[in-house]
Amino acid sequence: MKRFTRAFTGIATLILGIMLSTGNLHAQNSGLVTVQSGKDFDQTVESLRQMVSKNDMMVMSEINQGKILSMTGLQLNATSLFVGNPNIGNKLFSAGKGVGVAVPVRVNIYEAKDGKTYINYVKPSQQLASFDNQQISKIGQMLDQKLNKLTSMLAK
Amino acid sequence: MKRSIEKFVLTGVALLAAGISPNLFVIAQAGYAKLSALAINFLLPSIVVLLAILLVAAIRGHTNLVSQIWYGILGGLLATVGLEIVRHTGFLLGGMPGEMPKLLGVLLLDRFALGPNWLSNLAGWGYHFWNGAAFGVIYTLLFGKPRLWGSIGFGVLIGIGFMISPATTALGIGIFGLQFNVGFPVTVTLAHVAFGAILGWYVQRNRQEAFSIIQQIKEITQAR
Repeated sequence: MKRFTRAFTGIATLILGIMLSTGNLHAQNSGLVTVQSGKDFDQTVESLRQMVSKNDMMVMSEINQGKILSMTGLQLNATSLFVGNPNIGNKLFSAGKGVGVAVPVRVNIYEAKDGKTYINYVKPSQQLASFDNQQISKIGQMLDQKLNKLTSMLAK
Repeated sequence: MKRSIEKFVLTGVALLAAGISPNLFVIAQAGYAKLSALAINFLLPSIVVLLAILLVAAIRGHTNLVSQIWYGILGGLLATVGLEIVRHTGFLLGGMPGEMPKLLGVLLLDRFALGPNWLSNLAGWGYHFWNGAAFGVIYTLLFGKPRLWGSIGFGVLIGIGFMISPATTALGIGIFGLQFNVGFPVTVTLAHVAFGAILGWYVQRNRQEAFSIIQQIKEITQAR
């Protein structure tokens, strides 16, 4: 039995180590999730838009941070998409009028110094946790799953 | 007497119309309204009014006024080219926090979040140059054809006005842009010196007599 426990612990540690070292998915205590995309920046933005649509959501607004900052002379690829849908919005705002601080959910796509493209977001459940409302929390978790699904499809 | 009053009224309306454009960006940056809305409600009508004044003045035979406005517009446009050469050089050397015409463009077309594109750049540059033309008209209608130092002083005053207005402070760089670096006030001042010098030089090429607003008032009061 002891042998089995040791072997199990060893395998579990190994799997955890591999998961962390791949660098594809990081969720820190802050709720920040960062996923490395398997595509280049433009393709990632395009694919994410399409996947948002395929997952019953829509891009409600967009901030092209790269283009905005080009006015200051800085060159970078970074875009934030604000994602949600009217149905989720209706439910959330019905449950709490202050949820606008967290929704629509902001999904950020950026090209890092290493030339790789990443997608990051703060987990909606984490942002909505402070409302202390069961219905809001439930929707927050549902949004977590949706975003996880979206970004996993793009992950390398 | 009647013609002098008529000319004075036309001059006043032209001054008001020319004064609208440069103030819109300041009003927008102060948070009172969006530049896109101000452009539709005030900028475009003010351009129409100024062009209408030109037409009415021409029809009514106020040739001096027509030439003053015309030289003001062309001189202002030409002077903005000079200003832009200095401003852009200053930007490349790190003396400016951003490309002002591009910022004007995204605000005008209400597409800040998407950043500039060719159309917003066109709108921004167009607005920037129209502001130059408007200042040219204000200069020539207020002062006529003063000496070059007068126009340089006029340019410097515009620059100072810009640097202490919300147009600058809203960029997060403080009054005179000193929180950015000393290159900002230097660039802005030099750019406006260039603006004033070119404007003054061009307006002096007007062969017709050019009356300042004070001269017009004197003319009316003396006729009484």
